[in-house]
Amino acid sequence: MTISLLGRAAVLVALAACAIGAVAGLYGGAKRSAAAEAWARAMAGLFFAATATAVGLMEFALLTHDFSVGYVAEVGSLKSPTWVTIVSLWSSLEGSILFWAFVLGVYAAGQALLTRKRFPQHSAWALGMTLLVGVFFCYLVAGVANPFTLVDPAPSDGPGPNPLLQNHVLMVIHPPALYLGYVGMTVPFAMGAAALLAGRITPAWSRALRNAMLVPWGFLTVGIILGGWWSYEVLGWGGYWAWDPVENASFLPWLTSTAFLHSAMLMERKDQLKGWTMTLLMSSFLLTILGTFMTRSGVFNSVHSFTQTPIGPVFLVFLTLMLLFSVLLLAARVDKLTPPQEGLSGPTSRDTWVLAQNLAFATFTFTVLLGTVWPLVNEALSNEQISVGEPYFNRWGVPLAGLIVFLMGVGPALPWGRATPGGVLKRLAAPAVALVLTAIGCLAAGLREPWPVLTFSVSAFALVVTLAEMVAPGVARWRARGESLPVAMVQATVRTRRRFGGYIVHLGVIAIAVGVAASSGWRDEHQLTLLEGETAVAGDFALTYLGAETVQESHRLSTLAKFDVKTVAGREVGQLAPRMNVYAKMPMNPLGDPAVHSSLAGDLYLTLVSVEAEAGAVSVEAIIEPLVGWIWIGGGIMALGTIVAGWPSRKRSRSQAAPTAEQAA
Amino acid sequence: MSASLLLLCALAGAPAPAQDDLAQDDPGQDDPGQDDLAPAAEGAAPQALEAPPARAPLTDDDEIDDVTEHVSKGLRCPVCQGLSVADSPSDGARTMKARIRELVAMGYSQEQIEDYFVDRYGDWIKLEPPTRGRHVLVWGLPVAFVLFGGGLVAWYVQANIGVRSRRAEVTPVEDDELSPYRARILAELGLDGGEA
Amino acid sequence: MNWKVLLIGVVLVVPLVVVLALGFGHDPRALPTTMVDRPAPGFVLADMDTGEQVDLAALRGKPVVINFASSWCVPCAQEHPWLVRVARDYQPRGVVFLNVLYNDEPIKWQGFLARYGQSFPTLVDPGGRVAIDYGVAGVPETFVLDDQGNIVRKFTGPVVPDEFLPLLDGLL
Repeated sequence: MTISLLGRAAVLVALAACAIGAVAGLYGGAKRSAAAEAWARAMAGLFFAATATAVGLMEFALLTHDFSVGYVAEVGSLKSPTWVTIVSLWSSLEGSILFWAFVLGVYAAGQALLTRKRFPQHSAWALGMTLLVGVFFCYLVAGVANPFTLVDPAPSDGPGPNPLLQNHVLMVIHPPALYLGYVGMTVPFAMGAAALLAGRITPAWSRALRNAMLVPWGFLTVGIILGGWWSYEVLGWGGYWAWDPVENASFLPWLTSTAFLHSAMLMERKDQLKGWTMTLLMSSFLLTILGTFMTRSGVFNSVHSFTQTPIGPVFLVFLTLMLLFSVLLLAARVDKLTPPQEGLSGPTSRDTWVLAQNLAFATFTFTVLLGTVWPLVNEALSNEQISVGEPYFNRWGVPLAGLIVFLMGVGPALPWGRATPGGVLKRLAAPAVALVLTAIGCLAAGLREPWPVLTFSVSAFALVVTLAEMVAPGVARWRARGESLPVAMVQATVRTRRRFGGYIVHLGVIAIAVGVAASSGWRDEHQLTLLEGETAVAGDFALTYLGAETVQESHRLSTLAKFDVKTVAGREVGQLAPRMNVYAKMPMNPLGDPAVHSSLAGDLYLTLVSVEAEAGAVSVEAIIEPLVGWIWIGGGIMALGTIVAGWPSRKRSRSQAAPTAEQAA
Repeated sequence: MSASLLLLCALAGAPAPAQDDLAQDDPGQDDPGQDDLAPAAEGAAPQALEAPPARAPLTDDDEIDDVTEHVSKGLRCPVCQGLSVADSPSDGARTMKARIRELVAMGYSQEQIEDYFVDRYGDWIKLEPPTRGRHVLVWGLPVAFVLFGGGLVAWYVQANIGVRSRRAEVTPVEDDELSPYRARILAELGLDGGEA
Repeated sequence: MNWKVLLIGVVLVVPLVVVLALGFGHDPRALPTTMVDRPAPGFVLADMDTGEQVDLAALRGKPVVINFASSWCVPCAQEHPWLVRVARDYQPRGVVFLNVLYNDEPIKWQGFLARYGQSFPTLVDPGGRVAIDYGVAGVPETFVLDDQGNIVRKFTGPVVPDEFLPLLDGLL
């Protein structure tokens, strides 16, 4: 009762703070009023405090099982373990929107803090825009998706969250990472809109923009990969990516924001491509809103989507307004941005290859978007129904991904300035040799699948270039200065940290490319039916069925089938016990819970098909997936690289604070 | 929140009847199966498989498995919809996969099998859109996009090469006499705020 | 105002929004069927209880109701008792009712029948061949055939009583 009231009050305070702050920020931007901007900053702080309070109240209600609160009655359960209760906050629609508003509050407060007094022309506009988006989400929490509704009389227990979401601990980190990525796109969007509203992009602002994008980009990357890992560990088909509409929805803003991070280099260095870079920036945010709409409107057919909710139409209105606003803003202001001061350096320079990279990413985005909405387009035009699924997306995605890895090799090997053809050849010779040797090696090893072999080869190419680029500054400094090699390496790396971080990210991408190519190209499935004590062979593994066992927990009943796993050569691997979980919430629908033996060379993945306890028989699917673990490792490497590249630097922030930087352009 | 479809897919507990029969049967000799396929019913009956198999029956198990995998990758699991018949762990998909395996073993071609499923379920059973009518767009537009975009990039690079460089000093024309790395990296260090 | 940018933006944005808006009218999970208004695929299947072979072609001249169901399916349990009652009324009037077992074991289905009632035979469909012939995507699905052996109606999910009964009356 009280929590319901307090929660609603906190949400209303957040709504008011956003509304006042948005007006103050936009007014402050238009009139260059420092007083108004100070108001916007204060309101951003209040927005954060209010949403933090609301989230705190909801967690309190969940943990104390206060079923008079609507959301707790919907997803809470006395039987759930504590960790499940805590993460139920984002397990269902209303809670996830509240969490969304809170994350936006965190970002808004961070933005208010970090842009303080440094960007007088832009910061007020940008804060106003962020808070304007906040108004929408607070309105959702206060209205159509209110989690604090009062349930009277309060039930004595609830059903608990969706069993699929309780099935694995990755569910604790995957959604928050994705939300931090999605919501965080608001900040660079607001900053880009501020640049357009102010009619100019200063070098300091464009650097700040790129850093502001690195944060949500990193979270989005991690969120997507954890999502793949989660579905691999939970769904039981041994896959991690199915080109499902909701997966595509998270991939689309990742593509455009990755393109942005590269074209922004060209904008920063050569003052080029401002309009296009702003387009990518705004698209990234708009695609996150589109993605949220896809997940929550019930219009798309996806295993991940929430059911039909009243939130769909509201979201569509918001999406439409934001799309039109962005198009109008771009059209009105793009000509005001100063024309490029510097030319491109032609096809042997990195400039051109950044453009090629952008084209590849734009094509990828366009194709995935087209394929995702095509069934809807088709239904709008006729009564027949068609599918656009994995084979379609792979047909484009596999060659495009190969091309992108290849470009990741060519681009960094070229200088920003013009290079002579001889210099280019010299630089690409070693990587090209690596490419050819890898291809020959694969063919010699009897690997014939064209795409995986091609992916391996271009990965080797990109790997050599990336490693060379990572050590190049150190070597150059060592030669020029006569410092010892390690000192020169460290010094040069620290000084070019952003660049170095970028190449770490590239290494992660290579690891993922290799993992995806190998695990899909040489995936090997075995259907095994065994009696107790029997042994069967799957790939390099020998599985002995030891018997079934039943485990009762408060919220579920699990049947485990135990297997002793050895390699065919006889080395002990250990026990694997794929399970079948029956949740109290859904007694009719048991959920499989696969067991995985992972190593750097590949995984053995076991899914229970059926257990006949009386007969002592089990039917199990054993899948061998080579190198699949490198996908998750690659994700970790990408996250590390993002941190290295984006970690705030003392020195830079001081230089940016200098007013000369703002006035230079 | 309804992952109910997904739940259906994960319905691992629902027993798969005679799983081994399905997978292990050599359908080439399975007479009742043959009868089902070509029902002695009226002439207009939907019989995509009325035509004889395109090939001789297959006997090599590995080959049958490979073709089955290939065909079932392209068909959508009707229960969980997002996944292919090959990937879906649902019983419905397992049944369909077993059926596909039978047909493959009898010598039916991929096209014949796909036509059969499309006839019974509709176009949506295929995971790829058709290549006729308006669906040409979903295949053609990405190609148009990349061609147009490529042209645009080529034009843009050409048009911008001549623009006078304001910061020419930091984007030097490379001199092969110097260490290429050195010149380039020092330039970058300079741009990045390091010492050049 | 850069009209070129505005034009390109509008051309991209407006169709997208229109398509998404139209999407609200559709249920993405409702799958169309191609089987209605076509002759029903023939089959010869064994009766689960008697072991007798039932040939669909031999039932020509009578309307036939074919209900695909499984013991593990929740909506089947909901519709089954009602279907059992309707079959008791309509079988004497010449309508043939058949269950076809989908992805299930006879022993479990017998338990289901003991619980929810039985008034018409169950056919066993080894390997789901007939189910696939009929384009069955899930259970329950119910096909109504006229006396010429043509499919006149398919119900996906539990049958809708208000449509089912008039349909049967019309076929008699």
